[in-house]
Amino acid sequence: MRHYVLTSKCSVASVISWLPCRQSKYKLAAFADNLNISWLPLQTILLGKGVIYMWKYVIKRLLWMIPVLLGIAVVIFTIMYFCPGDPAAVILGNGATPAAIAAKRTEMGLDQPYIVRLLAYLNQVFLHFDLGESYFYKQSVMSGILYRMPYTIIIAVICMILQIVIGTPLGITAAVHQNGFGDRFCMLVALLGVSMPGFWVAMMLILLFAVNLGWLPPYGIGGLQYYILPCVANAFAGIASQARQTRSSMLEVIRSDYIVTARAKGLSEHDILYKHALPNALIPIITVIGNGMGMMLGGTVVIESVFSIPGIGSFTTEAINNRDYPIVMGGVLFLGAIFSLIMLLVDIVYAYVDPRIKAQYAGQQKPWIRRKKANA
Amino acid sequence: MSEVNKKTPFVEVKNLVVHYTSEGREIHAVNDVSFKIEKGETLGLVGETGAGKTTIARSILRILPEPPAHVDNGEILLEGKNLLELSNDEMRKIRGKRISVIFQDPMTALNPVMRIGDQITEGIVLHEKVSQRKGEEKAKRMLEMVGIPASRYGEYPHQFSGGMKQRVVIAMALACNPDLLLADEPTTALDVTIQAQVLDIIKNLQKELQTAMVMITHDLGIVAGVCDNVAVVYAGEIVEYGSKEEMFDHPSHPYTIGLFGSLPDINADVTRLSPICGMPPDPSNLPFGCSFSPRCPRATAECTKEHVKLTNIGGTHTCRCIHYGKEV
Amino acid sequence: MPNKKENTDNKEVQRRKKESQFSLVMKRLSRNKAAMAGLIVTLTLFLVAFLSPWIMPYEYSKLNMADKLQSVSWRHICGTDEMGRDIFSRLLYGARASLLLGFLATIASTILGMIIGSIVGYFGGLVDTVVMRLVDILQAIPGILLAIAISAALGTGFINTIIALSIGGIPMTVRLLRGSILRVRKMEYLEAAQLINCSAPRTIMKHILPNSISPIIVSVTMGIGNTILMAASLSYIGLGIQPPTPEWGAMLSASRTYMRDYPHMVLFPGIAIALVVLSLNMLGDGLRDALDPKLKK
Repeated sequence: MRHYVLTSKCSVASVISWLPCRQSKYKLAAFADNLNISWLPLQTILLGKGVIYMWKYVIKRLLWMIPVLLGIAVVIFTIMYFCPGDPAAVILGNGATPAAIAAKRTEMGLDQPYIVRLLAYLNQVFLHFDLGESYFYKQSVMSGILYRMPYTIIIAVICMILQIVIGTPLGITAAVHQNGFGDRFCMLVALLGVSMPGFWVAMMLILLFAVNLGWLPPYGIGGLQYYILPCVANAFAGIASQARQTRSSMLEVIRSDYIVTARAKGLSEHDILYKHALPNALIPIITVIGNGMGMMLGGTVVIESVFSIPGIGSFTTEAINNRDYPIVMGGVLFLGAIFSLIMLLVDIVYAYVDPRIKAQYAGQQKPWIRRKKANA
Repeated sequence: MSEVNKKTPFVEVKNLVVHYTSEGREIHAVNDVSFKIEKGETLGLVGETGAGKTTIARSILRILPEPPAHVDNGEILLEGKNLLELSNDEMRKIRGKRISVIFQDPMTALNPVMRIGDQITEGIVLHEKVSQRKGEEKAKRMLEMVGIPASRYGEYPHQFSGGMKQRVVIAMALACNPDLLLADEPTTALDVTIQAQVLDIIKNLQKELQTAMVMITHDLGIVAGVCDNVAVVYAGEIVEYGSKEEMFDHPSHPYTIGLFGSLPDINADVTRLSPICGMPPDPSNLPFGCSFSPRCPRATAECTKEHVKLTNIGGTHTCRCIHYGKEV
Repeated sequence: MPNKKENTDNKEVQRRKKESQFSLVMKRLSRNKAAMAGLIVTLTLFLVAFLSPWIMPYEYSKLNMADKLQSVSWRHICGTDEMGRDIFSRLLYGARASLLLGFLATIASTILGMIIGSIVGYFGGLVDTVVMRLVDILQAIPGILLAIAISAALGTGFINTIIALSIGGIPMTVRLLRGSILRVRKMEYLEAAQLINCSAPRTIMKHILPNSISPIIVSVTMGIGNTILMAASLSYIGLGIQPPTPEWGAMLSASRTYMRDYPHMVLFPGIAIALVVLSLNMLGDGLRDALDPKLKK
C-alpha cells in the first residue's frame, strides 16, 4: 500500500513540475518536506540512488539497439544476395525441371527487386523470428539454432568469466610491478597468447591432455570435463589480450596527476591503487572486455568444430561445407544480435562506473524538488 | 633526533642534488641547492621552466618518480629530522599532514571519478584519525573557507571550473593544518582575475594557520605580493638569494637583472621587449664553470674556468657571480 | 657582440630541431630489444616468403605417396604430409600466401578507412552522423563472423578472401582518422582561424596526416598479424584459401584426421603462424612505445 501511495504522489510530482507558477511548486515542495516523504520514484527506494539516473540512459540505449539490429540484418541480407547458386534449384533438388524451378522462384519471391526482398526479409526476421529454412535439412534455421544455443552460451559465458577473472588481475599485478620479473614473464606469455591461433592451441591441448596423458576427453559433450579444454583453448587468447590491455590502461592511469596528488596526501600504495587508480582504469578495461566478447563469440565458431561440440558455431561451419547459406547467415545474424546485447550490458555498466555519465543524467532532476538525505 | 632549539630553522634543505636518467642520458636537474625557511615564512623559488624548481619541491615530499629520478646527495631537514632518511611509512605520515602540495594544473590534479568532498575527507580521516562523519564536516568547513558552498560536497571535478578546482586542491592541501605548504605554480593555469582570488585565499589561510610556504613561480608579480624571501633558480642551482626587498632593490646576478629587465614597463616608451638572449642550457650537458656564462653580457674567460660559489653581498643577500660589484 | 650571439643562438636552435621526428623514433625503437627482434624476424620472413620458390628444398605440390606421413628427419625437416609432400616447403610457399594476404587485406582496409574517415571528418554534419551510424552497425558484427559470412558468399580464393578480411577492419581506421581530424580542427580553429578560412582540404590533410600517421602505423602492423590469424581460421573451417595452395590454416585442417598418430603435422604449421604473428606483434608494441613516449616505462 505504501508503495502505491508513493507512486501516485510521484506522478503528481511529475505533473506539478510542468506547472508554470513557481509559488505553487514551492508550496507543494514544502508540504512534501513536512510530510517527510521522499519524492523520488519507486525504484530509488527499492534499489538505491544510482538506479534513478540509469533508467533514462538504459532506455536510450535499448532504443538504439533497434536500428543496430535492423542494420545487421540488412548487412547480412546484402551479403546473402551475393551467395552463388539458385536457392530454388537447390531446394527442389537435382531432378527438377526448369519450369518447376521458375515456379518455385516466383513462389519464394526471388524475382522481386532488392528492396522488396529486403523488407520481406526484415519482416520475416523481426516480426516472425523466422531465419529461413535450411536448404539441406528442410528445417527452420531458428529452431536449429535455438536447439544448439545452450552449448554455445555455456562456453561463451565460461570463457567470459575466465577472461575477466583471470585476465584483469593479471594485468593489474603486471602494471603495479612494472618491469619486475613477474611483469616481464606474464607479458611474454600474454604476447604468445595473442599470437597463437585458437584452434591450434586447441589441437595442441588435445594432443597433450587427451592423446598423450588421457586426462580429458578430446571431443564431444557430456559432463563438466568435456568443457574444460574448449573453454581453456578459447579463453586463452582472450585472457592474454585482456591482461595486456588492462596493464596498459593501468600504466596510463598510474602516471596521472591525480595519482601524484593522492600520494602527496600520504595515502598508502594499497589505497592509491584500489581507490584512485583502479576506478579510473576500469572504464577502458570495460571497453576491452566488451570487444573481447566479440572475439570470443567468433572464436567459439572455430573451437566448436575442433571439439565437435554441437553448438551454433559447428552448425554454421557444417553448413558452410554443405553450401547451406540460410544457416550460415542465420547463425551470423544470431551471434551478432547476441554481441549487440552484450555491448548494451557493457554500456550500462559503463554508466554505473563513470560518474560523469551519471551526473549528465542527474542534472535533469528539477532543482526545486528537494531530496531527502536517505542515503547521504 | 637533535633538539629543536631556536637556532634550528624550521625547514632546511642542504646540498640537494637530484638527477634523472632518461633514454641513456643523465639529466642534472638539481645541482647543490640549499635554503632555509622559518615558521610562517614564504620562500619564492623563481626561474624559467626546466630550471629544477618542481624537482626541488617534489624531492622535499619524496614523490619523485623513483626509477628515472635519483637523489644523489643532500639533506632535507624538517625541525632537524632528515626526511630523506625516513622509511616509507614514516614519510607517509608526514605527507599531507606536515607537508602538503598544491600542483600546477588543477584540471588533472583531482580524481575524476571521486566526489570532491570525499577527496578532501580522505586526507582528514587518514591523518587525524576521526570518524567519516567528522571528517566530512571538516571537509565542508574547508570548502566554505575557500569559497565553495558546502552543498557542492557531492559533486564531481568535471562540474567545476578551473579556478574552483584549484580552490578544492587548496582546501585539500590545507585540510590537516600542514606546517609547510609547497605551492608549485598554483596560478599559472588560471586567468588573471582568478589568480588574484586564489592568491588571496592562500595568503589568508597561511596567515591564519601560520604555515611556512614555498611558492614556486616564474611570475615576479606574485613574488612581490606573497613572498618574504626569494631564491632565483637557474640550471638547477640557486644563483641569487635574499629577502624580497634586497632582491627587488638590488638585483645582482646578471640573470636576475635580465629577468627584471624583461618585464614590460607600461610607462617606458619602447618598441621592443628586451629578453635574455639565448636558451636555457641542456640539463644533460651543462656548460663548465658558470652555467649562465653562454648568455651573460658580463661573461669573461674567467667565468668558464671553474664552478662559481655563492658569495654573501650584504645581509642575507647572496649571489653566484664573480663579477659582482664590478662595472660592465 | 649581440649579432654573434644571435647567430650562435640560431645555430643552437637549428641543431636541436634537426633531431627530427623520424630519427628520434628510430633511436627509441632501436633501444627496444624485443621490437628489434620482431623487426628482424618479420623482415627475414618477408624475404624468405619472397624467395621461397627458389629456396624450398622440394616442390611444394610434388606428391610422393611412398614418403607419406613421415616424421621429422634430415631429409624432411618438418616431415611429410598425407600425400607425401614436404611440409617445410609447403610452409615456405604458404608464407607467401599468408603474408601477402595479411598485408594486402590490411592495407586495403586502412586505405578505405582513411578515405572514408577523411571525408567524414572534413564534411562533418549529416554526412558524419549517417556514416558513423553505418560504421557502428558494421562494428556490431564481430570481425571474424563478418569475414565468415562474406567469405561464404563470395567463395574461396585469394581475391575473395582479401575482400572478406578487409571489410571488417574498416571501422577502426575510420574512427582513428576521424578522431585525428576532429582534434586538429579544434586546435586550428583556436589558433589560426585564417588557416581554415583560406585553406583547401589539402591544407587540413597536410596537418592531419602527420598527426594521425603514428596510430595508423601501429594499427597496420598489429592488423597484419590479426588478419593472418583470421585468414588461418577461415581456411581452417573450409573458407578462405583451400588446397592446392598451401595455406597454413588449411594445412592444420587437413592434419586433423592424422593428428593422433602424426603430431608433427599439427606442430609445424601452427609454429609458423605463431612465429609470424608474434614477431609482428612485438614490432607493433615497440612501434607504439617508440611513437608515443608518454606511454613508455
